[in-house]
Amino acid sequence: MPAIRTASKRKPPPEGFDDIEDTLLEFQNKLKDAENASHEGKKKHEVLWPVFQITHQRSRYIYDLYYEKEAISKQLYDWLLKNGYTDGNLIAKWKKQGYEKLCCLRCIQTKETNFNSTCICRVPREQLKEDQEIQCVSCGCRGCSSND
Amino acid sequence: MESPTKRLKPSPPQEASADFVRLGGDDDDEQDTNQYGYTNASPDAQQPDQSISQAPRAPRAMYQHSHHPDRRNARNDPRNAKDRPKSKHVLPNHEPWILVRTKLGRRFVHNTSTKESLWWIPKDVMPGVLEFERWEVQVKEKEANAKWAEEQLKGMRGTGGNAVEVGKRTRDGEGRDRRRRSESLQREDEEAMMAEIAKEAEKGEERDVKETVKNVEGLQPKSAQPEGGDAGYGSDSSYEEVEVTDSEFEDDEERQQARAAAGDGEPAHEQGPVEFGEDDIAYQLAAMENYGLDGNGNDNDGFYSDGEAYEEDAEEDDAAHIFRQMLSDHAISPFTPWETLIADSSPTSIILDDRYTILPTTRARKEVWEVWVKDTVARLKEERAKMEKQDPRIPYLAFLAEKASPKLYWPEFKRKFKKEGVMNERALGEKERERLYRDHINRLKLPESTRRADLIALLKAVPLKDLNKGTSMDTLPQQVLSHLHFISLPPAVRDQVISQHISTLPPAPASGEDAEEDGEHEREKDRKRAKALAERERLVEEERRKAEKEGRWAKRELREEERELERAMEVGKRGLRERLRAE
Repeated sequence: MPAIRTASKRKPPPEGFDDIEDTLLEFQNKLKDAENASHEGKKKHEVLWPVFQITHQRSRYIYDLYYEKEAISKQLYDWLLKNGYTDGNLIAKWKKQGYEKLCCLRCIQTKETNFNSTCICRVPREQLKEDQEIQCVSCGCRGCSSND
Repeated sequence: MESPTKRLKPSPPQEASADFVRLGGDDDDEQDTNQYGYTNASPDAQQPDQSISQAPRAPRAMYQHSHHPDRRNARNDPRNAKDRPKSKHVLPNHEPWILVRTKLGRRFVHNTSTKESLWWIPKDVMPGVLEFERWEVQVKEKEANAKWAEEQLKGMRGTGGNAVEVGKRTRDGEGRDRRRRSESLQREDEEAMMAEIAKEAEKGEERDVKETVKNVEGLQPKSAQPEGGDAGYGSDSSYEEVEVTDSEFEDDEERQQARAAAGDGEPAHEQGPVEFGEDDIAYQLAAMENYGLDGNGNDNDGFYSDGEAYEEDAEEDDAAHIFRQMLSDHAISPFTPWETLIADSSPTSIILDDRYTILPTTRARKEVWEVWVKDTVARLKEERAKMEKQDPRIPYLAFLAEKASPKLYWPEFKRKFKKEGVMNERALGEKERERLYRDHINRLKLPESTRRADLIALLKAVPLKDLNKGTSMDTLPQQVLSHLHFISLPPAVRDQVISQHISTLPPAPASGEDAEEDGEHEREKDRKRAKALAERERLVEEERRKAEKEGRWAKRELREEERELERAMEVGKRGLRERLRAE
């Protein structure tokens, strides 16, 4: 049986967590709201879009803080990764060229599509038809090509 | 957008700078707008206005010859609504002031630091404006000359029809603006006019006639027609005097003339230049900012002239600086995401700040924000590193001193105060809190004398550097504040004990206390080392003595054995029996 980790036994988060705690709480609340939102009148896949979007935003926030602005320490970043505040796999993709704005991992999972292709949101805008409005099925992304 | 080389600058003002500054707006291509763009801009009208339009009331011309009758009333002039700031120019050596030109060709100065805008250019800024316009004129003159030469050639081909009339108009106009224009320029203007008229004549006779008739009818467009000749709102070739004060006697004079010329048919003409109040200025600036807000103002709205591009570059740094200042002023946490910042709809939001629009695009703003965040975080880190870290126990102990009582068990106490910030402090673990609480409660049960003695012992343990005669009750060292013994006594008694103890202490050691202490440390170490050495020597000596002693013992034993052997060897003639007897 795994050890039960109560609040009293938990280690405190690394230094600097206080600075971003409020923002993370906000994201958490948004996520809760998205989870509890009604599915009335929505398509089946549409229900999950907000969840994808919020987790993307949260991951991006932490990614920016650590890699772009160097505002949080390595320890804190690792702690956030470990505690599920960010999606490490998504961030790993963001570091690769051509995937800098990737919306979610599902959208590059070619094996899940009929023609072994990526999602429509990965297509650069100039290759789309004029004024073609897209919104991908997996996460509601409207286009995440790097050169958009 | 047009390239600057295509622009034409008709007749730069030379003498015009003495008492007012004429507005040299950006011209559209002369061929297009002057001749075909707007019907009022007749070739006949153009010449006289070349000679006259220096008058500081050009704005009137805009609505006088407008096709929209509703615009004729200057008082409730929709011009104000129509007018937009078009370009801004930095005034060299008058740094906070910029010259703003409007779509209608009017002009005002704006102070970027105090945010005030004035139609009437202040005395101290005037030289800057003059200098700027002179420079602008010089630049444009070169282009204009080339253009005129070209047109002159064209004119040579077909001068005719209107020559007589042109001559007449010129004579009319001359009287009024002689004092303002140099002869050479005027001549140039005339030539240009003639060329244009000739061209017009080629284009269509009936149109020409119409224009002529109109002029004859007494509308007198010449008296007020802006120099460029196009009266439309989109035009910017009109020169305009925007100092709209009533004290401008020249203006009055011109107005009189215009009134006389206009007759009763159009009373609206006599309204004179529109008076612009503070509201209008505010409106102008707001409009200007709106243009900045739409993101790609430079590209698609066409209100920014080409000449502005490089000035924009020069201003970019300033704008970025102001934007950063705004971010700092709003006390924004650098850890806030950008989306949150711009989605904020509270009255303190940055998007409601005027300075928010100083950068034209959201992308530019975000870039500046990113740099700002980076800098701010770096500074914050530095500050935190410098700041003395407060022991997390201090606030908790202060809380305990106030709230803890032997009547409450720890779980009860925890439950009662679980909402308090100190009870949820992460730096201090739950266990540590519990331990401190229990110890504190137990100590409260001890007799006061013991607690007092403990406190004094604690105070004595503090080095003189931290606690001395100069220490006040507010600046007690952390070592004292974070100790349980400090809160064991009731505050009144405790303060008394501490102040008593402090009064017995010597004053703080001199400034070199650190060095002194280091020296003390060294000496202490030396002493210790010497002591250790002595001890070692003693041990060695002991060892040596011991070894010597053992050696001696061994020798003695050897000697003894030798003696015994000798004795044993000494067997006499008397034999063994004798010997045994002896023993």
